[in-house]
Amino acid sequence: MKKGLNRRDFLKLTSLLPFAYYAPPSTPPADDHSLPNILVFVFDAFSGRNTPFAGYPRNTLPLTEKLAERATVYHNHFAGSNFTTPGTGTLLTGTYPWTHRAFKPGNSVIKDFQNKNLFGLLDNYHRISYTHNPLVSAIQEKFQDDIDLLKPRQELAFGLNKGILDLFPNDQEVALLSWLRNFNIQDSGTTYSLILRFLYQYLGQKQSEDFPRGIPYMENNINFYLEDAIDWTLSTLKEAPTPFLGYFHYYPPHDPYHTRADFIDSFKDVPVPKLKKSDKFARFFRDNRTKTTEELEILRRYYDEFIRYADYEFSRLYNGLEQNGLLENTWVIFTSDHGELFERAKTGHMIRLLYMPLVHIPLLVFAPGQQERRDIFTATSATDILPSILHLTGKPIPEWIEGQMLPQFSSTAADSNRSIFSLDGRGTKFGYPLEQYTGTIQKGNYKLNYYHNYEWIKGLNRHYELFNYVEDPEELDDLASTHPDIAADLLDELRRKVDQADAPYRA
Amino acid sequence: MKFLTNKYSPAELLGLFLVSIFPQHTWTIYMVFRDMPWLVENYYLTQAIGVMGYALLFALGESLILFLILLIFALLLPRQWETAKRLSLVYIAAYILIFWAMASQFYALFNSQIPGFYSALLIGSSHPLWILYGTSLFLIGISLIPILLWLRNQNFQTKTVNLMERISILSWMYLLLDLAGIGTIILRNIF
Repeated sequence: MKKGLNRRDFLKLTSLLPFAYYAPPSTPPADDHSLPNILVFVFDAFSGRNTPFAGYPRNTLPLTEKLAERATVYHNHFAGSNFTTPGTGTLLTGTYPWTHRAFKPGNSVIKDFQNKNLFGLLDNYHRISYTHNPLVSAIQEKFQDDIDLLKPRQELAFGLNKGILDLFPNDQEVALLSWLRNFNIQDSGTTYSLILRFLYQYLGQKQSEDFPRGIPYMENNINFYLEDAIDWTLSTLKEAPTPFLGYFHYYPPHDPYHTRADFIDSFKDVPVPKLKKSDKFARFFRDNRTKTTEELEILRRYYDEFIRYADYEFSRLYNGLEQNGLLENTWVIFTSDHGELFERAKTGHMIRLLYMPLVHIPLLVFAPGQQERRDIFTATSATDILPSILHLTGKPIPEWIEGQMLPQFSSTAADSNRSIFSLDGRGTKFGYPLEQYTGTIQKGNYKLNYYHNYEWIKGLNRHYELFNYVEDPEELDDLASTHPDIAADLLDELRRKVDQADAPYRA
Repeated sequence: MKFLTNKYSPAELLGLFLVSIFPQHTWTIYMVFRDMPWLVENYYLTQAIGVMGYALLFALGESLILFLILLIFALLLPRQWETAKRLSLVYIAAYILIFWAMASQFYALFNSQIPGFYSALLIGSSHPLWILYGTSLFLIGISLIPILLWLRNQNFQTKTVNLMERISILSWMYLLLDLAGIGTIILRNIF
């Protein structure tokens, strides 16, 4: 009997070639246990100032603090900006907002970053992502070709407005925006609808015994339970091929601060530092209504109680991962995209300020098998997350990344004199230069806040403030007039950075 | 369908539909234009136009619901009454409802405050609840004035129907805008 194929057999087999066209695409990467899994858990609008790691008098993270006994705790970690779009852009691309250019709510990063991001660079990983936040969805849309499992956010949501997402799947954000402006009462007290808004409000006032302050909802009023997202995360990761990369961006403790019944009034009798009065810059920013001291105190307590909810659910998630045996070869990163403000007569984060509560965010890194807590006080930036992950996964760190490896991974001593930036350029149109912005630079012990080209503060003789944020983390004592040289150097460095990044857009 | 056409001709039903369209569309378009600076500031112009397209679609939906409510009301009115009398009552009832719906929003829109003398009256009174009841009755009374006019004056009935017929002409324009809005939505969902 002849061995091998004869010419006739070969020709017969070639007739099957067209069917190869219909064969399934390349199979998912085979399980590879040599590479570690990476999990990034982002809790939206989580200020590092409101955690026990920053000496906050309310213990908002009792469970996470226990888990942190086996983690590296970063005490001076800074977001790239003060709201989701630029903050998440920075986290996912390792660049500052002036480079990725996601300035306005609903923007994504520029086309250059379509494959230059956390998902695109870890192309040998099984990449999974979920977010509650529509602004994160808008960014991830650009990366979707590089995400193997991108869970649509409405699948873990419910409520009156969810139907709109299902009805207009290809234009969710605009359809939902219009729907809400039709029926949901705006700050001005108005809606586009005349009659049905009453029915909408009646149906929308759903109460729940578990959530007496109202069922949590994400931006655009879509209800969710964090529990559902955590359960889905656990079950998905249990079945995921390894090595996997998971990016999960949960909504709490973002407002509205609708905590679970278990945590209501947890901090009713625990005092917090005295609230700061409106200052010369904060009072000019009117995109956010001025609040009374009483209002701020109540909102801050509600926020802290909402953090407890996030704390409980993160702890449940972490323990679930441990029980499933996933933590043996998995790095877990716990962080946020930006902070939240309750001072100077302002609240929230949709305001062009970059005070510490808005840019100081938590960062905990849980290494596989880590048994002892390590504390790092060197200042770090959200731009450092991506290069650190690349280092962990054995990938080269591209030159365009503006961050550097977190100190725990670096073989060289941490640079305590490094410059770290945050930027809010929310008025900037896509493809246009930065005409107006608020920027900060932190270097050594100093932090300079700079307000560039705002019409309404033109009358002020100085458009920046300087603080020693190590000795004065509450930013009460403006040193700009007593340390003019330091202020001038920092201002010059910040402006040069912005001008450099802006040059192609000015052309 | 016969029970419908026994009471109202297709032209009268179309008229009722066009009357239902008018107030909601006028309000929606006014509010979208008022909102435009905010929309353009925070979104792209194409997105802002998309918001307007959807708003028109939702306004059409709301108008259809209002039309169905008015139709049910119109069908409940006695057949012995002349058509003009029946239709004018339906129109008046609809516009009283619309007036109060708008008033509640105008209150917020123009940042209206309760007049000082009224607050002082409530604070100074030993029976503030009675004053509130009295005010409510007064406002309901104002709302009933058109109904009283309708009851007593046949000329008022005819004039109401004539006015509504004129308004209907404008509603055709709104329907054209709705078509443009639906076109925008289709394009946005395809591309």
